[in-house]
Amino acid sequence: MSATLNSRIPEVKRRMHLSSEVLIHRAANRQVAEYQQTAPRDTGLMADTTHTEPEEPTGRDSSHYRVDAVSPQEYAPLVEFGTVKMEARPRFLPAYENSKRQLHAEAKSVTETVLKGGVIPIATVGVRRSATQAHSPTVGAIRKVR
Amino acid sequence: MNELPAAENWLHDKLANDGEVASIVGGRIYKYALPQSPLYPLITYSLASDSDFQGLGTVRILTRPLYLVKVISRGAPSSLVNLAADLIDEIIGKTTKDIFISTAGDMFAVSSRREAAVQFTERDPTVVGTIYFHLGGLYRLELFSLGRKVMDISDSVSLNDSVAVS
Repeated sequence: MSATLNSRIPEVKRRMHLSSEVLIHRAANRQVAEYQQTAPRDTGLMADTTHTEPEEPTGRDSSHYRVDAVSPQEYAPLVEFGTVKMEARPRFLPAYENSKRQLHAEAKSVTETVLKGGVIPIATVGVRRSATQAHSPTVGAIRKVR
Repeated sequence: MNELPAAENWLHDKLANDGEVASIVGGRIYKYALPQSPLYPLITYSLASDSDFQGLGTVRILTRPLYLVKVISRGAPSSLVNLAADLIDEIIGKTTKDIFISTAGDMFAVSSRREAAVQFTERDPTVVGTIYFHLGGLYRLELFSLGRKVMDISDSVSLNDSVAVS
């Protein structure tokens, strides 16, 4: 009698890497969406141009995978950290912290799912950039500026 | 109970009671907003974010506020301003366990460390060539209640008896 043992570890590892990339994407999108809803608005340019800049997903090694949430206007740090004439109105950091907290909770549940052979949640990546702007927020921002 | 006012008092006292900090900024340590036409350099601190760490039921184990603490100087920072920023990091960024009492008499333990350094310049649009330099950091405080209350009992007993001997 003979038996063959097939290791599932490589498959679990691959799924975990893919899941991590999905979760990090989702967390960054969530941060941007919250920031766009809560950031101080005058013209709306600062909030509307905030976006994510992801690395190209590899699907193999996500140990250093990174998605940046970027608020590109040069006055954004002045609003966040305050000036001599205006007190700080932090919205970017709270959005980051909320998103990070949710990421930890999601990572736990996804890890359990993957280890049990479940399906990873790919569907929600990059679906929308803002809860208030379902379609093309960048184009909207450019129009506003003009 | 809300821990933030107590935390801010602790933060202020910790900086104000340091002799070296006082020699650089005097008493100019401000919470959130600056006064009109202040003298520089000065220190300002404000809440940047906050989160609680919950236990079972309604138990709140920790409060973890993130404070922005920075020195602001007019013009390029002098060595004294850099020293003030270093002192903030020494005083606030390396607190392992302090005990303090809130105005309501609750006892708290606090520890603190820096999560990120902050440095940027700001141009004054009204005066050409004037810049302000901001230097400091984001400090994560971890506060937990010791579950004890300090009560000030102001009762006193006056003993004014006297014996007259004739």
